[in-house]
Amino acid sequence: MTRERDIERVLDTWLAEGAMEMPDRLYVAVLDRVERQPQRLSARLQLRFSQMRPAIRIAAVAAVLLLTLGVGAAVVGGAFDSDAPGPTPAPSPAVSPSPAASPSESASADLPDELAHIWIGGERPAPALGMTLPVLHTLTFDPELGFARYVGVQLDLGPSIMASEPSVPSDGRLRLTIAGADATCQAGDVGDYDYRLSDGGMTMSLTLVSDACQARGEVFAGTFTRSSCKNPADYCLGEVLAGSYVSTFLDARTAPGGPVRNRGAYGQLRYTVPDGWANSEDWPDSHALEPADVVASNPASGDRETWHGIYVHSRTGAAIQDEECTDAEQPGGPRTLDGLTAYLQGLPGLEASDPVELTIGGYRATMTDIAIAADWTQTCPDAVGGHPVVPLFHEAGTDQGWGWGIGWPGNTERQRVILVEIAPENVLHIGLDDTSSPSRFDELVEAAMPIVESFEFPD
Amino acid sequence: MDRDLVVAARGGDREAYADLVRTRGDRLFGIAQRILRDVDRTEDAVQDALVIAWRDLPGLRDPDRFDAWLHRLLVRSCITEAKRERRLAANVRILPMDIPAATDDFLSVADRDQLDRGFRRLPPEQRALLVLRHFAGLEPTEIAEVLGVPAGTVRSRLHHAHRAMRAALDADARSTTITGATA
Repeated sequence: MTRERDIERVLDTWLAEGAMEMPDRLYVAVLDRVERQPQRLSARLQLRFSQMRPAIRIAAVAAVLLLTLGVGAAVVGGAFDSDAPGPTPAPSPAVSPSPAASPSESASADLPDELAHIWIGGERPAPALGMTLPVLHTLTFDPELGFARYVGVQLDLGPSIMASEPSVPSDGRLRLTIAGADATCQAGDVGDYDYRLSDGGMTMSLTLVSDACQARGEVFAGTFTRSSCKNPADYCLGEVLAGSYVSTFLDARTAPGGPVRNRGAYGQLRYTVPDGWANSEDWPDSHALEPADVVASNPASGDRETWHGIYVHSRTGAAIQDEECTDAEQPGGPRTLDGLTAYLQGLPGLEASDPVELTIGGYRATMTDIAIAADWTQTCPDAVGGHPVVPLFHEAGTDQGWGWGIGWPGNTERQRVILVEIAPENVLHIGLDDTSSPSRFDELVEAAMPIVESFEFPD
Repeated sequence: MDRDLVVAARGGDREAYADLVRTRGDRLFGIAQRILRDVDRTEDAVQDALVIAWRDLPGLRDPDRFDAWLHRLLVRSCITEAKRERRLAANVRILPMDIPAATDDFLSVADRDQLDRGFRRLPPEQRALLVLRHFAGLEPTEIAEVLGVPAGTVRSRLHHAHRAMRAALDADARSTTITGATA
């Protein structure tokens, strides 16, 4: 083998050789395990699960986040999300139809890279889709599929709709051509939009010029925030530029035991970050902000090899304290701000600072710095190496929610626990957590507190 | 339609998931087998990836990303499995070889031997990258989605992987003995 050989061609040839078929026994083994394996209610992997089981565990939330592209079946069959009204005849929004054109006529430029993202458009009604109450709007410009498409988060209704071939006929002009007829649009329907991106491309404005497909004109026009979430199962924003942002899914307001808004609770957390931060999680019960380099160094799945950031959890309750580290809320345990703050002070195995009262987003809050006591040895069954662990919190009102604790091999972990009283029995947990060293924790606190102090919880 | 199967499986339909596994199993197995180059480990990695995929499928928000997501799970399983590999203590003695020049479209037994040794010396992450590119035929943008890194990073890592493969082959061609066939 020589340097002169074209290594790429060699690899193409060589890797084409070998086994190409999955053995039948493997199919059988997989399907057997699938038969016995229940699905998680949420795809979030249980963070830190391999390090220490329930101590710090963000587990499943109440229900599945169902996102699809579909609405066609709903328009035909009337099966809309239960949170939303039933379908109504589609009124005509202020859309000027334009003549249909074939995809080949419209394609004069590729989709610009800066558009090739998922875009979060907030919640607003979509009358043309039969949605008169606000629903979350997201668009995906997917260069692999060659489509721009609408993802109706609250709609779980079947085949994709409005799958459109994008092109840029002129600077700032986006042309979308429906690739195949569906219940909302006809094949070849052309829509023209003026698009504008903010500096750095975090925000996209689409202004309708004309669209032969009324429904598309209604849902595509608007202002959208870029989502570049590292975890493809999540629609978090990923790395962001300095500025103010809102959460898409975190449901901070629903009280324990209440119906959590699993399909979007847009804007319930607003925050301001400097450059260099990323939104690495956005789920109904959790939201994470971490330095971008930390996100880059961790796996995309949501697992973490290191923790260093701001971790927000809704509906806080006290975790059961037992040797099995049962991953559940204490029956009858505290759920109020004062009760949870006192609980933290009295937890065996913790060194806790005196709580400091403060206000976050206009809400009463307390702040406590914690570490595991040097003489604490109690661990959890799944803690690798049997390192000391103290379970702290569990989502209140459900046995399937998140869990949070402290404990890391080498006892290097420090946390700042900020509890925010959203309602008398609905406390939000904000954890500033670093697992590497006390000095890194101090750096985190210095960088993260201005962000936490910017938190708002709009109604 | 696969998308419908993904949606159904996401909702807990095991039959739908079995159909998805049947249509993708060969490809997944082929990818894993090439990354790991060991049948037992390949089967473990594929099985783990498919069971994890079933378990976590309800949280996959966009069904159209199922394949990229599944590939990512598979690559993770392969990397985990590769890192579990026990390093062999045995010394492997390779006789000096006077390798005849081969044409570009012909790989001799000696070529394959060299390639295999060179490939096994690469870290599993680089092996995965090469397999996704040269076996699965994914473009850098597609690999980027699988690995969760920017496309530019994939191109850069591919360049490094090619360079590492070349270097491994060159080193192998120069050596008469290697110690500890490791992966």
